[in-house]
Amino acid sequence: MSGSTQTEGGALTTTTPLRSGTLHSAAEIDAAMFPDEARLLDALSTATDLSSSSDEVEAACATWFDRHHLSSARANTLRAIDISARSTVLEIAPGGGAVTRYLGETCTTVDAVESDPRLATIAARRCDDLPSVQVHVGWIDDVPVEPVYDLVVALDVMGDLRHHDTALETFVQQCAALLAPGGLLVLGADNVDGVRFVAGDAPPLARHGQVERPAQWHRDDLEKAVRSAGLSPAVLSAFPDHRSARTVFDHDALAGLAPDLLTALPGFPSPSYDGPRPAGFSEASLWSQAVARGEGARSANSFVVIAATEPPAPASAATYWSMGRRAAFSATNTVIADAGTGPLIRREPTFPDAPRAEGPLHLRPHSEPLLDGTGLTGVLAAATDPVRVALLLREWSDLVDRSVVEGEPVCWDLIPRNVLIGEAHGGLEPFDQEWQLDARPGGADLVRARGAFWLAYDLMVARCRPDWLRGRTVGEAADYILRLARPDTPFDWFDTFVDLESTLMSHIWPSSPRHSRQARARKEWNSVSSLSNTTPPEQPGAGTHDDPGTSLRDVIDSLTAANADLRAEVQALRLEQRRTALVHRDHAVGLAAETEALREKLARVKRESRRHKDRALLLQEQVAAMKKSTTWRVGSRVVKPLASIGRKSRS
Amino acid sequence: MTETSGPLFSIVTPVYNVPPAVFRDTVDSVLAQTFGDWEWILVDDCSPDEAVAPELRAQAARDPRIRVLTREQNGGIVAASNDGVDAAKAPFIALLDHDDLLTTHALAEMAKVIAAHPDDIDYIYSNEDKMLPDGRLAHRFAKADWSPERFRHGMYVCHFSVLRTSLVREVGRFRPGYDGSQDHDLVLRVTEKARRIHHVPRVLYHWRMIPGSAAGDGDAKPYAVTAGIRAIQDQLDRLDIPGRVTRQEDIGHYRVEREPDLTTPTSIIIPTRGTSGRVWGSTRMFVVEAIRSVRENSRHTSLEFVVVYDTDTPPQVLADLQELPDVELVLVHFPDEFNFSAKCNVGALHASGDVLLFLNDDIQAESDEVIGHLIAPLREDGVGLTGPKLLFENGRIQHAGVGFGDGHISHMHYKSLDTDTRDPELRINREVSAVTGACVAVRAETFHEVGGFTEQLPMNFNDIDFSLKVRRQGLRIVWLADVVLWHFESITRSPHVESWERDFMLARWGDFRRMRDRYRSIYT
Repeated sequence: MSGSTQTEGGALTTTTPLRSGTLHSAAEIDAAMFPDEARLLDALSTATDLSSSSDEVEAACATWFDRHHLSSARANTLRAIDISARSTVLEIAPGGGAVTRYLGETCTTVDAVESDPRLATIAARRCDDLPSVQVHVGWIDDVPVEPVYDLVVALDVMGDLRHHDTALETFVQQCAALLAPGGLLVLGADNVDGVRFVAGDAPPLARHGQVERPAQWHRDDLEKAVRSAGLSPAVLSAFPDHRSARTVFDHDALAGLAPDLLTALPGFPSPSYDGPRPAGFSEASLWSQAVARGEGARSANSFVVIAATEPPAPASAATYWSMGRRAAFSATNTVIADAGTGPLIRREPTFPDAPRAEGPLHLRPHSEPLLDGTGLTGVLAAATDPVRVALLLREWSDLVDRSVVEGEPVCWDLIPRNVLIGEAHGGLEPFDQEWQLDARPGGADLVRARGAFWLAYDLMVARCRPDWLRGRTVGEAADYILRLARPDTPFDWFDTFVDLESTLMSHIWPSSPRHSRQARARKEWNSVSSLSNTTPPEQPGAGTHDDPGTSLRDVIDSLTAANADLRAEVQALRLEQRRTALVHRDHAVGLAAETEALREKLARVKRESRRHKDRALLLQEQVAAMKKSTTWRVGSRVVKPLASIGRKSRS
Repeated sequence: MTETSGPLFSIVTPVYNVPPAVFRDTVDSVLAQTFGDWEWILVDDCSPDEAVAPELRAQAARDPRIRVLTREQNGGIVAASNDGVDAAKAPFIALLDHDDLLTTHALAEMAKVIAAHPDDIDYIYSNEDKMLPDGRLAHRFAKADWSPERFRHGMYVCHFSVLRTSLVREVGRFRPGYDGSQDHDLVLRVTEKARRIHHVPRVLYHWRMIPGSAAGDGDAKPYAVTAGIRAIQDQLDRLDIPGRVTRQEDIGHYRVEREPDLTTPTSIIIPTRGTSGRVWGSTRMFVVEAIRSVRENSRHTSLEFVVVYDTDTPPQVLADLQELPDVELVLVHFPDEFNFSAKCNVGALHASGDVLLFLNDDIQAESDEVIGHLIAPLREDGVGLTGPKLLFENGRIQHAGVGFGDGHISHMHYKSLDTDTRDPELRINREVSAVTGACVAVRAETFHEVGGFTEQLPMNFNDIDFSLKVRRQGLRIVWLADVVLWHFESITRSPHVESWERDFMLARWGDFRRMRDRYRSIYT
């Protein structure tokens, strides 16, 4: 190490041999030739918040390419590993700098070498305000070989390995040579035997200059390469991949602690790499089969290899994250062994420093024991007896009622998805209760409404749709479910539900600065409304159940249909009523204006008539005056009679 | 008036180096007033011309109602006028310059207005004309009724102005530092607080044109312009209107550029039949291109497009609309027979925005940030509607406000050229009698208060009727010169107006053929 300098922030930044060299990054991006890269740079240049918890940057991502280079989820893989003690870090192939940003916020000195000059420019822009970070254009060959780094991160290098014609063993040896004593190498790779690839996916191209897809490896290859460099490997499994991990786990530890979670934690199907995907993508069933066969350890989509002379023991058996939420609502969940109670799930905010979110919804950091039991949704999906369904739904409804205490926050997410039928005594047990809604009247009703709606949706898309929901839309199914759970539900519950649901959703998901939260809420409103009006297509090959009591079903069916008609009619009438009110107001305003116009006309006519009267009076006075004059008197009394006598005598 | 003691008007006249012959005319015009309940305060601002002081004394001797104040030292127009204001005993101040003339009925007309609204009238102004150096009267200026937006672009009320004395004192009289635009500044401050403002549409004042005086010289002095800009900017700041004031030197008016409003949830309502047509040599689907151009033009963060379409709208149009990127679309089917008003109303009932913007489908945005600028003035109290400048395909004016009165209902400046125009009426924001329904923005609450567009007029005049209903609520209609859109309505279209439509307007709004157009400004 050649020395240290004090940065503006006060943190101590180490001067690495790479920094004293001449590598630099300054590349213009030609928007015509590289529109994707230009868009990323533009998004970062206009963003006011570049941090790894930036909702703004998150919302600017439209495609897989964008997310791959900007999304905060890129750093999840590292979040699963404790790197707080590592101060001097080298990142190889950082791409757009999403991971670099996280490293820069966590460690004091971060060097990054990126061979694509445009991506290097983007990564440098992302870390503009971090004095700890320097981004260089280059490859590992360009890093002076001195053992100065506590941590070398190579999460996305398999494409570059092919591009630079570097063998995996060579690369790992090069990395090992840069590690300070006790240093750690973190390597990410796609698994040749990963279920998503067996199902038909191909690994993605993250750099536009490269033509060959990233190399994939067996678990054995990776371990061998690490050992050949004189290090020991610890291998973690990642889903949907090591790039944007939703979950990272130590397979053997998790299998020992909570084997059910092996199939529960990875969400399927994995989001696609924006490419075509074969029909009947069977990733989910391949994974459960692999787990059942005991081959889970070699079948994960991706591996994260931690290499060191003595790799540290993993802090937890598994870590999983909420994906895509606003930073303030993002949660990190760790599965840990607790000697007293059995496995525990600890839930913490992913970004404790993110600005507090507005709105009535809050994330609740807490720990809860991992329960044994069967999911309520699954039991309901498989139930054939309507009486059993109704009883379970009533029980859930009672659970909701019990959970709501006046003046206390509402367990907003106490919906069947998050309820188990306990193994021990058969009662309903809530889990995953990470949300709290500010206290409000009618809290139980709104939780019931959400529960019914999302249960309806879950059952409609279940592998085997229950018979009693066939032929209904999601909205009708929800109405039916809600009535089973609580017969005295008002007929217009859905309007209240969709308004609140869309508002709350608009708080949870990030929205781009181009659109306000109200606009986002309207979008959610539209999507929930249209979801309620659809009937999702049934899964091919789904089985059917035997028909239970038809008469009861028919009655419920006809009631539900009548209800839907009624609701539509009420909506049309409400619209008509508002329009009539509008027309009436127009008439009222018009009549008032007409009266005013008439009054003005009346005043004008009165004025005119008064003027005419005055004129007539004046003329009358003039006539009277004229008649009083001598000329008039002489004329009428002398001249006129004489003239008439004259006329008579002539005739 | 309840105050029976003392005069009704204090005429205030600062005097500085006035030629005696000219001043004698002014005195004669005041002594000839048919209304006699006034006092006249002459403030000699320490004129260096030695003839002035004896002349003032001689004239004051002619009538006991004339008082002369003499300043110890020269203080400029602001200080001299303020001395007059301080000395005024009457409840109203009338401003008269030392070389101008009043018509013999001037004070009588003003007194009539005060008698009609004794308790709340705070400011009155009249029309005026100019007296040429040879004594002829010319350049008659028939002004618009009180128009705050127009007033921010130029001191149009000018003479003859009568202000309530107590209010002038309350707002702090004339302000030092605003010389040259001190009257503009004062009237800005007075009218902000005035409870009632009245315009007497008769010439009561002859402004003498003397080469070098403001009346004779078209170009205002630079210090007066900067003072004017400051005075208007002050008002924007006082009223919390984010914006910037500049000068359009070539037409001698100011320009007020408001910050665009990019956040108020806005619904753009477009009635359409999905027609296509040729514009600038190529065929386009009007409604699709209208929405595309508006969305691409605006950075507004909460825009919703409500398209109300007829049954015979081609399905391709609806499909193309749904393909538009980044557009929040609400499609509303309108099954009844054609009624423009009803389509707009139904669209408004489906809209969720706080501001509604009604737009024809055959338009295209031209100026920057059309939406943000068009809706920005609606934040100001008293503004009911806003409308933009619309241009025909060939660049001539389609819409620059609609006149109601002076004999007819008609588009102002219709078909005149917009390029390089030096006509201030096409270059300043101003109040108008009505705006076209082709593009009009309104707050949703106002729309619902007045009952939307009247469905009794399916074709013509529904927009005029709408404007008049909004004005009846005491709200102003502001036309924005810098917000420009293309409107591809055929320039040869001659809309046929049915006689029953005209009769409807006559019955509801009175005889527009006999009325004065209240927001027209005519300078001859």
